[in-house]
Amino acid sequence: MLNSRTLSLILFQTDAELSVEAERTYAGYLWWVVEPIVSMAIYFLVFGVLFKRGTPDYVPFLFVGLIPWRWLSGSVQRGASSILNARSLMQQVYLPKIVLPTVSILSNAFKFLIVFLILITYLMIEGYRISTAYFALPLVIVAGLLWISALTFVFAAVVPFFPDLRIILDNMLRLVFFVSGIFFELRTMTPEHQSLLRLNPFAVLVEAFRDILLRGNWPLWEPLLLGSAASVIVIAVGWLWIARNDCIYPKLGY
Amino acid sequence: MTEPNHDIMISLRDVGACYKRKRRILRRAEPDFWALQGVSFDLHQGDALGVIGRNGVGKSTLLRLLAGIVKPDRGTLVNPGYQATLLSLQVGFLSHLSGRKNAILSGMLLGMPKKEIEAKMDAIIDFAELEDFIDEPINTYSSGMRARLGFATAFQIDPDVLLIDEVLGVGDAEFIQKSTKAMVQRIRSNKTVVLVSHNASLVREVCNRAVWIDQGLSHAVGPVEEVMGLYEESTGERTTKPKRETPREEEGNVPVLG
Repeated sequence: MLNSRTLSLILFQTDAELSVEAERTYAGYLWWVVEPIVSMAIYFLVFGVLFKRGTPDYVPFLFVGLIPWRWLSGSVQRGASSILNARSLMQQVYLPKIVLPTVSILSNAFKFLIVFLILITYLMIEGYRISTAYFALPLVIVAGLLWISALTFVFAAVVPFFPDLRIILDNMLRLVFFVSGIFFELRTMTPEHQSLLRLNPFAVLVEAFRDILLRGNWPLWEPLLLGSAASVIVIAVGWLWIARNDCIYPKLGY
Repeated sequence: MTEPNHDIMISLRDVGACYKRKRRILRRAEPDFWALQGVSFDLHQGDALGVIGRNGVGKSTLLRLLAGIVKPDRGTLVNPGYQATLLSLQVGFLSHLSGRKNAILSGMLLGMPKKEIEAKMDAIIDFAELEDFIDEPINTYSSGMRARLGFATAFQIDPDVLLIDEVLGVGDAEFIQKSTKAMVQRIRSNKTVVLVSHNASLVREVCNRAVWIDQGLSHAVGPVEEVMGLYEESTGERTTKPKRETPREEEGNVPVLG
Protein backbone atom coordinates (compact mmCIF):
# COMPACT_ATOMS: atom_id res chain seq x y z
CA MET A 1 0.00 0.00 0.00
CA LEU A 2 2.94 2.33 0.61
CA ASN A 3 5.53 2.01 -2.11
CA SER A 4 8.90 3.68 -1.83
CA ARG A 5 7.91 6.57 -4.09
CA THR A 6 4.90 7.42 -1.94
CA LEU A 7 7.06 7.15 1.14
CA SER A 8 9.72 9.48 -0.19
CA LEU A 9 7.00 11.93 -1.26
CA ILE A 10 5.60 11.86 2.29
CA LEU A 11 9.01 12.51 3.80
CA PHE A 12 9.88 15.29 1.39
CA GLN A 13 6.47 16.95 1.82
CA THR A 14 6.84 16.80 5.60
CA ASP A 15 10.26 18.37 5.45
CA ALA A 16 8.97 21.04 3.06
CA GLU A 17 5.99 21.81 5.26
CA LEU A 18 8.15 22.17 8.35
CA SER A 19 10.62 24.47 6.67
CA VAL A 20 7.85 26.55 5.11
CA GLU A 21 6.32 26.99 8.54
CA ALA A 22 9.64 28.20 9.85
CA GLU A 23 10.41 30.44 6.87
CA ARG A 24 7.08 32.19 7.06
CA THR A 25 7.94 34.08 10.22
CA TYR A 26 10.78 36.28 11.36
CA ALA A 27 11.69 34.10 14.33
CA GLY A 28 11.24 30.90 12.33
CA TYR A 29 12.01 27.68 14.16
CA LEU A 30 12.07 29.58 17.48
CA TRP A 31 8.29 29.74 17.37
CA TRP A 32 8.01 25.97 17.78
CA VAL A 33 9.43 26.52 21.27
CA VAL A 34 8.24 30.01 22.13
CA GLU A 35 4.64 29.56 21.08
CA PRO A 36 3.94 26.55 23.34
CA ILE A 37 5.61 28.34 26.24
CA VAL A 38 3.44 31.42 25.74
CA SER A 39 0.28 29.37 25.53
CA MET A 40 1.24 27.32 28.58
CA ALA A 41 1.90 30.56 30.48
CA ILE A 42 -1.66 31.61 29.71
CA TYR A 43 -3.09 28.33 31.01
CA PHE A 44 -0.93 28.69 34.10
CA LEU A 45 -2.24 32.21 34.64
CA VAL A 46 -5.85 31.09 34.32
CA PHE A 47 -5.80 27.80 36.19
CA GLY A 48 -2.82 28.24 38.46
CA VAL A 49 -3.18 31.83 39.55
CA LEU A 50 -6.78 32.89 38.99
CA PHE A 51 -8.36 29.62 40.11
CA LYS A 52 -5.76 29.27 42.85
CA ARG A 53 -4.79 25.72 42.07
CA GLY A 54 -1.27 26.95 42.53
CA THR A 55 0.48 24.26 44.52
CA PRO A 56 4.22 24.27 43.72
CA ASP A 57 3.83 21.17 41.55
CA TYR A 58 1.01 22.61 39.55
CA VAL A 59 3.08 24.09 36.71
CA PRO A 60 4.89 20.85 35.82
CA PHE A 61 1.64 18.99 36.30
CA LEU A 62 -0.14 21.30 33.86
CA PHE A 63 2.66 21.30 31.31
CA VAL A 64 2.88 17.51 31.16
CA GLY A 65 -0.81 17.49 30.25
CA LEU A 66 -0.77 20.44 27.89
CA ILE A 67 2.10 19.42 25.66
CA PRO A 68 0.53 16.12 24.49
CA TRP A 69 -2.73 18.01 24.17
CA ARG A 70 -1.22 20.52 21.78
CA TRP A 71 0.16 17.62 19.79
CA LEU A 72 -3.29 16.10 19.48
CA SER A 73 -5.17 19.27 18.59
CA GLY A 74 -2.52 20.50 16.16
CA SER A 75 -2.37 17.24 14.27
CA VAL A 76 -6.10 16.60 14.10
CA GLN A 77 -7.02 20.16 13.15
CA ARG A 78 -4.39 20.34 10.45
CA GLY A 79 -5.03 16.85 9.21
CA ALA A 80 -8.80 17.19 9.11
CA SER A 81 -8.57 19.77 6.31
CA SER A 82 -5.60 18.20 4.56
CA ILE A 83 -7.50 16.40 1.81
CA LEU A 84 -10.17 19.10 1.52
CA ASN A 85 -7.58 21.84 1.04
CA ALA A 86 -5.61 19.92 -1.56
CA ARG A 87 -8.41 20.10 -4.10
CA SER A 88 -6.58 21.93 -6.86
CA LEU A 89 -3.50 19.76 -6.35
CA MET A 90 -5.56 16.58 -6.60
CA GLN A 91 -7.07 17.75 -9.87
CA GLN A 92 -3.70 18.25 -11.49
CA VAL A 93 -1.79 15.16 -10.48
CA TYR A 94 -2.63 11.74 -9.19
CA LEU A 95 -1.30 11.20 -5.71
CA PRO A 96 -2.38 8.68 -3.10
CA LYS A 97 -4.54 10.83 -0.83
CA ILE A 98 -3.21 9.06 2.25
CA VAL A 99 -0.08 11.19 1.76
CA LEU A 100 -1.92 14.33 2.83
CA PRO A 101 -3.02 13.46 6.40
CA THR A 102 0.19 11.49 6.92
CA VAL A 103 2.21 14.65 6.31
CA SER A 104 0.14 16.47 8.97
CA ILE A 105 0.69 13.63 11.42
CA LEU A 106 4.43 13.47 10.87
CA SER A 107 5.11 17.20 10.95
CA ASN A 108 3.14 17.60 14.18
CA ALA A 109 4.80 14.56 15.75
CA PHE A 110 8.18 16.08 14.95
CA LYS A 111 7.27 19.39 16.58
CA PHE A 112 5.93 17.52 19.60
CA LEU A 113 9.20 15.68 20.07
CA ILE A 114 11.15 18.93 20.12
CA VAL A 115 8.85 20.52 22.68
CA PHE A 116 8.84 17.30 24.67
CA LEU A 117 12.63 17.38 24.97
CA ILE A 118 12.37 20.93 26.27
CA LEU A 119 9.74 19.79 28.76
CA ILE A 120 12.08 17.12 30.09
CA THR A 121 14.86 19.69 30.39
CA TYR A 122 12.50 21.94 32.32
CA LEU A 123 11.54 19.07 34.65
CA MET A 124 15.23 18.41 35.36
CA ILE A 125 15.69 22.05 36.30
CA GLU A 126 12.65 21.82 38.59
CA GLY A 127 14.28 18.93 40.42
CA TYR A 128 12.54 15.90 38.90
CA ARG A 129 14.81 12.97 38.18
CA ILE A 130 15.04 10.46 35.37
CA SER A 131 13.87 7.04 36.59
CA THR A 132 13.76 3.54 35.12
CA ALA A 133 10.14 4.30 34.19
CA TYR A 134 11.58 6.45 31.40
CA PHE A 135 12.07 3.21 29.46
CA ALA A 136 8.30 3.20 29.02
CA LEU A 137 8.31 6.64 27.36
CA PRO A 138 8.86 5.48 23.77
CA LEU A 139 5.95 3.07 24.09
CA VAL A 140 3.67 5.74 25.52
CA ILE A 141 4.66 8.10 22.72
CA VAL A 142 3.87 5.41 20.16
CA ALA A 143 0.50 4.87 21.83
CA GLY A 144 -0.11 8.62 21.53
CA LEU A 145 0.94 8.60 17.90
CA LEU A 146 -1.51 5.78 17.16
CA TRP A 147 -4.40 7.52 18.86
CA ILE A 148 -3.66 10.85 17.17
CA SER A 149 -3.22 9.16 13.78
CA ALA A 150 -6.55 7.41 14.18
CA LEU A 151 -8.40 10.68 14.79
CA THR A 152 -6.49 12.49 12.05
CA PHE A 153 -7.16 9.85 9.39
CA VAL A 154 -10.84 9.58 10.20
CA PHE A 155 -11.44 13.31 10.06
CA ALA A 156 -9.28 13.75 6.96
CA ALA A 157 -11.31 11.01 5.27
CA VAL A 158 -14.74 12.36 6.09
CA VAL A 159 -14.32 16.16 6.12
CA PRO A 160 -14.15 16.45 2.27
CA PHE A 161 -17.64 14.90 2.14
CA PHE A 162 -18.99 17.02 5.01
CA PRO A 163 -16.93 20.20 5.41
CA ASP A 164 -19.27 21.23 8.25
CA LEU A 165 -17.63 18.57 10.33
CA ARG A 166 -14.73 20.94 10.98
CA ILE A 167 -16.99 23.10 13.14
CA ILE A 168 -18.12 20.05 15.10
CA LEU A 169 -14.49 18.98 15.37
CA ASP A 170 -13.45 22.24 17.03
CA ASN A 171 -16.08 21.73 19.69
CA MET A 172 -15.28 18.08 20.08
CA LEU A 173 -11.63 18.93 20.69
CA ARG A 174 -12.68 21.42 23.33
CA LEU A 175 -14.68 18.69 25.04
CA VAL A 176 -11.73 16.29 24.89
CA PHE A 177 -9.62 19.02 26.44
CA PHE A 178 -11.91 19.35 29.43
CA VAL A 179 -12.42 15.64 30.04
CA SER A 180 -8.81 14.53 29.64
CA GLY A 181 -7.61 15.62 33.04
CA ILE A 182 -5.22 18.17 31.62
CA PHE A 183 -5.68 20.71 34.39
CA PHE A 184 -7.00 18.38 37.08
CA GLU A 185 -6.03 14.98 38.46
CA LEU A 186 -8.17 12.12 37.23
CA ARG A 187 -7.62 10.29 40.54
CA THR A 188 -9.38 13.03 42.51
CA MET A 189 -12.68 12.29 40.76
CA THR A 190 -15.30 9.86 42.10
CA PRO A 191 -14.68 6.24 41.05
CA GLU A 192 -17.68 6.25 38.68
CA HIS A 193 -16.47 9.42 36.97
CA GLN A 194 -12.95 8.05 36.81
CA SER A 195 -13.93 4.89 34.97
CA LEU A 196 -16.07 6.94 32.61
CA LEU A 197 -13.28 9.44 31.90
CA ARG A 198 -10.78 6.63 31.34
CA LEU A 199 -12.79 5.50 28.32
CA ASN A 200 -11.09 8.43 26.65
CA PRO A 201 -7.71 7.13 25.46
CA PHE A 202 -6.25 10.60 25.65
CA ALA A 203 -6.97 10.88 29.38
CA VAL A 204 -5.15 7.58 29.83
CA LEU A 205 -2.24 8.94 27.83
CA VAL A 206 -1.96 12.10 29.91
CA GLU A 207 -2.03 10.03 33.06
CA ALA A 208 0.70 7.75 31.73
CA PHE A 209 2.94 10.73 30.95
CA ARG A 210 2.43 12.05 34.50
CA ASP A 211 3.12 8.68 36.08
CA ILE A 212 6.43 8.45 34.26
CA LEU A 213 7.66 12.02 34.28
CA LEU A 214 6.39 13.32 37.63
CA ARG A 215 6.14 10.25 39.84
CA GLY A 216 8.71 7.87 38.39
CA ASN A 217 6.06 5.13 38.20
CA TRP A 218 5.35 2.69 35.40
CA PRO A 219 2.16 3.60 33.53
CA LEU A 220 -0.97 1.46 33.66
CA TRP A 221 -0.45 -0.85 30.70
CA GLU A 222 -3.88 -2.28 30.24
CA PRO A 223 -5.80 0.88 29.27
CA LEU A 224 -2.85 2.01 27.11
CA LEU A 225 -2.89 -1.27 25.19
CA LEU A 226 -6.64 -1.21 24.80
CA GLY A 227 -6.51 2.33 23.48
CA SER A 228 -3.72 1.41 21.07
CA ALA A 229 -5.58 -1.64 19.80
CA ALA A 230 -8.69 0.44 19.20
CA SER A 231 -6.56 3.06 17.46
CA VAL A 232 -5.04 0.49 15.11
CA ILE A 233 -8.51 -0.63 14.06
CA VAL A 234 -9.65 2.95 13.50
CA ILE A 235 -6.46 3.70 11.51
CA ALA A 236 -7.16 0.68 9.28
CA VAL A 237 -10.74 1.79 8.69
CA GLY A 238 -9.72 5.38 7.94
CA TRP A 239 -6.92 4.24 5.67
CA LEU A 240 -9.18 1.91 3.68
CA TRP A 241 -11.84 4.59 3.39
CA ILE A 242 -9.31 7.07 2.01
CA ALA A 243 -7.92 4.47 -0.41
CA ARG A 244 -11.41 3.54 -1.57
CA ASN A 245 -12.27 7.15 -2.33
CA ASP A 246 -8.92 7.96 -3.90
CA CYS A 247 -10.52 8.98 -7.20
CA ILE A 248 -13.67 10.42 -5.62
CA TYR A 249 -11.99 13.20 -3.60
CA PRO A 250 -10.91 15.18 -6.71
CA LYS A 251 -14.53 15.29 -7.84
CA LEU A 252 -16.02 16.63 -4.62
CA GLY A 253 -17.00 20.18 -3.92
CA TYR A 254 -19.00 21.07 -7.03
CA MET B 1 6.16 12.99 -38.95
CA THR B 2 7.03 9.33 -38.62
CA GLU B 3 4.25 6.89 -39.15
CA PRO B 4 2.88 5.85 -35.76
CA ASN B 5 2.45 2.15 -35.13
CA HIS B 6 -0.96 1.11 -34.03
CA ASP B 7 -0.65 -0.46 -30.65
CA ILE B 8 -3.50 0.73 -28.50
CA MET B 9 -2.36 2.25 -25.20
CA ILE B 10 -5.59 3.56 -23.72
CA SER B 11 -9.03 2.70 -24.94
CA LEU B 12 -12.30 4.43 -24.00
CA ARG B 13 -15.81 3.15 -24.67
CA ASP B 14 -18.86 5.26 -23.83
CA VAL B 15 -17.02 6.87 -20.98
CA GLY B 16 -18.94 9.29 -18.79
CA ALA B 17 -17.90 11.24 -15.72
CA CYS B 18 -20.18 12.88 -13.25
CA TYR B 19 -19.58 15.52 -10.58
CA LYS B 20 -21.87 15.32 -7.61
CA ARG B 21 -23.34 18.64 -6.59
CA LYS B 22 -23.02 19.81 -3.03
CA ARG B 23 -25.92 18.67 -0.95
CA ARG B 24 -27.35 21.27 1.37
CA ILE B 25 -29.97 21.14 4.02
CA LEU B 26 -32.81 23.64 3.46
CA ARG B 27 -32.08 23.83 -0.24
CA ARG B 28 -33.25 21.80 -3.18
CA ALA B 29 -30.51 19.53 -4.46
CA GLU B 30 -29.35 20.33 -7.96
CA PRO B 31 -29.04 17.41 -10.35
CA ASP B 32 -25.59 15.91 -10.71
CA PHE B 33 -23.45 17.30 -13.47
CA TRP B 34 -22.28 14.95 -16.21
CA ALA B 35 -19.14 16.59 -17.59
CA LEU B 36 -18.73 13.74 -20.06
CA GLN B 37 -21.53 11.48 -21.21
CA GLY B 38 -20.21 9.12 -23.83
CA VAL B 39 -16.70 9.34 -25.16
CA SER B 40 -15.14 6.58 -27.22
CA PHE B 41 -11.75 6.46 -28.89
CA ASP B 42 -8.44 4.62 -28.84
CA LEU B 43 -5.12 6.21 -28.13
CA HIS B 44 -2.36 4.54 -30.13
CA GLN B 45 1.33 4.41 -29.42
CA GLY B 46 3.02 7.40 -31.01
CA ASP B 47 -0.21 9.31 -31.54
CA ALA B 48 -0.38 13.04 -31.14
CA LEU B 49 -4.07 13.26 -30.44
CA GLY B 50 -5.73 16.66 -30.47
CA VAL B 51 -8.86 17.13 -28.38
CA ILE B 52 -11.00 19.97 -29.66
CA GLY B 53 -14.32 21.40 -28.67
CA ARG B 54 -15.83 24.53 -27.20
CA ASN B 55 -15.39 25.68 -23.63
CA GLY B 56 -16.96 23.57 -20.93
CA VAL B 57 -17.53 20.41 -22.97
CA GLY B 58 -15.49 18.30 -20.59
CA LYS B 59 -12.06 18.42 -22.18
CA SER B 60 -10.28 18.90 -18.86
CA THR B 61 -12.31 16.11 -17.31
CA LEU B 62 -11.21 13.88 -20.19
CA LEU B 63 -7.57 14.61 -19.35
CA ARG B 64 -8.22 13.81 -15.68
CA LEU B 65 -9.73 10.49 -16.70
CA LEU B 66 -6.75 9.67 -18.92
CA ALA B 67 -4.36 10.63 -16.11
CA GLY B 68 -6.18 8.32 -13.70
CA ILE B 69 -7.04 11.23 -11.40
CA VAL B 70 -10.73 10.34 -11.59
CA LYS B 71 -12.47 7.16 -12.67
CA PRO B 72 -15.31 6.90 -15.19
CA ASP B 73 -18.80 6.78 -13.70
CA ARG B 74 -20.05 4.96 -16.76
CA GLY B 75 -18.50 3.10 -19.66
CA THR B 76 -15.04 1.55 -19.64
CA LEU B 77 -11.56 2.98 -19.78
CA VAL B 78 -8.83 0.42 -20.30
CA ASN B 79 -5.26 1.33 -19.51
CA PRO B 80 -3.09 -1.75 -19.02
CA GLY B 81 -0.60 0.17 -16.89
CA TYR B 82 0.80 3.01 -18.95
CA GLN B 83 1.73 6.08 -17.00
CA ALA B 84 -0.24 9.06 -18.28
CA THR B 85 0.64 12.37 -16.69
CA LEU B 86 -0.87 15.80 -17.03
CA LEU B 87 1.74 18.45 -17.70
CA SER B 88 0.98 20.55 -14.63
CA LEU B 89 3.05 23.68 -14.27
CA GLN B 90 4.08 24.84 -10.79
CA VAL B 91 2.10 22.03 -9.24
CA GLY B 92 2.59 21.84 -5.47
CA PHE B 93 4.77 24.95 -5.37
CA LEU B 94 5.13 26.37 -1.86
CA SER B 95 5.99 30.04 -1.79
CA HIS B 96 8.45 30.07 1.11
CA LEU B 97 10.47 27.18 -0.21
CA SER B 98 13.58 27.51 -2.35
CA GLY B 99 13.38 27.07 -6.11
CA ARG B 100 15.43 23.89 -5.86
CA LYS B 101 13.18 22.27 -3.28
CA ASN B 102 10.08 23.34 -5.19
CA ALA B 103 11.45 21.75 -8.34
CA ILE B 104 12.00 18.50 -6.44
CA LEU B 105 8.57 18.64 -4.83
CA SER B 106 6.82 19.44 -8.09
CA GLY B 107 8.76 16.77 -9.94
CA MET B 108 7.91 14.15 -7.33
CA LEU B 109 4.23 15.06 -7.55
CA LEU B 110 4.49 14.64 -11.31
CA GLY B 111 5.76 11.13 -10.72
CA MET B 112 9.53 11.45 -11.02
CA PRO B 113 11.80 9.79 -8.46
CA LYS B 114 13.68 12.29 -6.31
CA LYS B 115 17.08 11.12 -7.55
CA GLU B 116 16.10 11.64 -11.15
CA ILE B 117 15.02 15.24 -10.51
CA GLU B 118 18.23 15.93 -8.63
CA ALA B 119 20.18 14.52 -11.56
CA LYS B 120 18.29 16.81 -13.93
CA MET B 121 18.57 19.87 -11.69
CA ASP B 122 21.30 21.50 -13.78
CA ALA B 123 19.18 21.12 -16.89
CA ILE B 124 16.21 22.64 -15.05
CA ILE B 125 18.22 25.61 -13.77
CA ASP B 126 19.70 26.11 -17.19
CA PHE B 127 16.41 25.93 -19.07
CA ALA B 128 14.66 28.17 -16.53
CA GLU B 129 17.56 30.66 -16.71
CA LEU B 130 17.61 30.93 -12.93
CA GLU B 131 21.31 30.50 -12.11
CA ASP B 132 21.99 31.56 -8.51
CA PHE B 133 18.36 32.26 -7.77
CA ILE B 134 17.59 28.55 -7.56
CA ASP B 135 18.33 28.49 -3.83
CA GLU B 136 16.27 31.57 -3.04
CA PRO B 137 12.67 31.10 -1.82
CA ILE B 138 10.29 31.47 -4.73
CA ASN B 139 8.30 34.25 -3.10
CA THR B 140 11.27 36.43 -4.03
CA TYR B 141 10.81 35.42 -7.70
CA SER B 142 9.01 37.43 -10.32
CA SER B 143 5.99 35.68 -11.79
CA GLY B 144 8.02 35.14 -14.94
CA MET B 145 10.78 33.37 -13.01
CA ARG B 146 8.24 31.20 -11.28
CA ALA B 147 6.63 30.33 -14.61
CA ARG B 148 10.02 29.43 -16.06
CA LEU B 149 10.88 27.18 -13.12
CA GLY B 150 7.45 25.52 -13.34
CA PHE B 151 7.87 24.83 -17.01
CA ALA B 152 11.47 23.68 -16.82
CA THR B 153 10.54 21.22 -14.05
CA ALA B 154 7.42 19.83 -15.68
CA PHE B 155 9.24 19.54 -19.00
CA GLN B 156 11.57 16.94 -17.47
CA ILE B 157 8.83 14.36 -17.06
CA ASP B 158 8.77 11.59 -19.61
CA PRO B 159 5.61 9.55 -19.05
CA ASP B 160 4.28 6.95 -21.49
CA VAL B 161 1.51 9.37 -22.36
CA LEU B 162 1.93 13.12 -21.97
CA LEU B 163 -1.29 15.06 -21.40
CA ILE B 164 -1.29 18.76 -22.20
CA ASP B 165 -4.08 21.19 -21.36
CA GLU B 166 -3.96 24.20 -23.68
CA VAL B 167 -0.74 25.78 -22.63
CA LEU B 168 2.43 24.95 -24.49
CA GLY B 169 4.52 27.96 -23.62
CA VAL B 170 4.62 30.29 -20.63
CA GLY B 171 6.47 33.31 -19.29
CA ASP B 172 7.55 36.49 -21.02
CA ALA B 173 7.50 36.80 -24.81
CA GLU B 174 10.95 35.38 -25.25
CA PHE B 175 10.43 32.40 -22.98
CA ILE B 176 7.06 31.66 -24.57
CA GLN B 177 8.91 31.24 -27.85
CA LYS B 178 11.55 29.04 -26.30
CA SER B 179 9.20 26.86 -24.27
CA THR B 180 6.64 26.48 -27.03
CA LYS B 181 9.35 25.47 -29.44
CA ALA B 182 10.66 22.87 -27.00
CA MET B 183 7.16 21.54 -26.45
CA VAL B 184 6.30 21.34 -30.14
CA GLN B 185 9.50 19.42 -30.71
CA ARG B 186 8.57 17.07 -27.91
CA ILE B 187 5.12 16.47 -29.39
CA ARG B 188 6.62 15.77 -32.80
CA SER B 189 9.24 13.36 -31.48
CA ASN B 190 6.99 10.32 -31.79
CA LYS B 191 5.92 10.57 -28.16
CA THR B 192 2.36 9.72 -27.33
CA VAL B 193 0.65 12.98 -26.56
CA VAL B 194 -2.89 14.14 -25.93
CA LEU B 195 -3.28 17.86 -26.50
CA VAL B 196 -6.40 19.74 -25.49
CA SER B 197 -6.70 23.00 -27.36
CA HIS B 198 -8.98 25.69 -28.72
CA ASN B 199 -6.37 26.57 -31.24
CA ALA B 200 -7.41 24.76 -34.40
CA SER B 201 -4.34 25.66 -36.38
CA LEU B 202 -2.07 24.39 -33.61
CA VAL B 203 -3.91 21.07 -33.52
CA ARG B 204 -3.60 20.76 -37.29
CA GLU B 205 0.05 21.54 -37.10
CA VAL B 206 1.21 19.17 -34.37
CA CYS B 207 -1.36 16.39 -34.20
CA ASN B 208 -1.93 13.44 -36.50
CA ARG B 209 -5.30 12.48 -35.05
CA ALA B 210 -8.07 14.38 -33.37
CA VAL B 211 -11.21 13.83 -31.37
CA TRP B 212 -13.98 16.40 -31.32
CA ILE B 213 -15.91 16.56 -28.08
CA ASP B 214 -19.29 18.22 -28.06
CA GLN B 215 -21.77 18.27 -25.18
CA GLY B 216 -19.91 15.48 -23.43
CA LEU B 217 -19.91 13.17 -26.45
CA SER B 218 -17.13 12.26 -28.82
CA HIS B 219 -18.60 13.71 -31.98
CA ALA B 220 -15.88 12.64 -34.38
CA VAL B 221 -12.62 10.74 -34.14
CA GLY B 222 -10.03 10.19 -36.81
CA PRO B 223 -7.22 11.73 -38.83
CA VAL B 224 -6.73 15.35 -37.90
CA GLU B 225 -7.73 16.82 -41.28
CA GLU B 226 -11.02 14.96 -41.34
CA VAL B 227 -12.04 15.83 -37.82
CA MET B 228 -10.94 19.44 -38.09
CA GLY B 229 -12.89 19.76 -41.32
CA LEU B 230 -16.06 18.59 -39.62
CA TYR B 231 -15.42 20.79 -36.61
CA GLU B 232 -14.84 23.89 -38.66
CA GLU B 233 -17.86 23.21 -40.81
CA SER B 234 -19.97 23.26 -37.67
CA THR B 235 -18.40 26.36 -36.19
CA GLY B 236 -18.10 28.20 -39.49
CA GLU B 237 -14.43 28.90 -38.93
CA ARG B 238 -11.68 27.92 -41.23
CA THR B 239 -8.04 27.60 -40.48
CA THR B 240 -5.64 26.71 -43.19
CA LYS B 241 -3.12 24.00 -43.01
CA PRO B 242 0.36 25.37 -42.34
CA LYS B 243 2.23 25.97 -45.54
CA ARG B 244 5.26 23.91 -44.71
CA GLU B 245 5.21 20.42 -43.37
CA THR B 246 8.19 20.85 -41.08
CA PRO B 247 8.40 24.36 -39.73
CA ARG B 248 10.19 23.26 -36.61
CA GLU B 249 13.58 24.73 -37.48
CA GLU B 250 12.22 28.13 -38.28
CA GLU B 251 11.61 30.68 -35.60
CA GLY B 252 8.49 32.74 -35.89
CA ASN B 253 6.61 29.85 -37.34
CA VAL B 254 6.06 28.37 -33.94
CA PRO B 255 2.50 28.65 -32.76
CA VAL B 256 2.19 30.81 -29.70
CA LEU B 257 -0.51 30.55 -27.18
CA GLY B 258 -1.38 33.42 -24.89
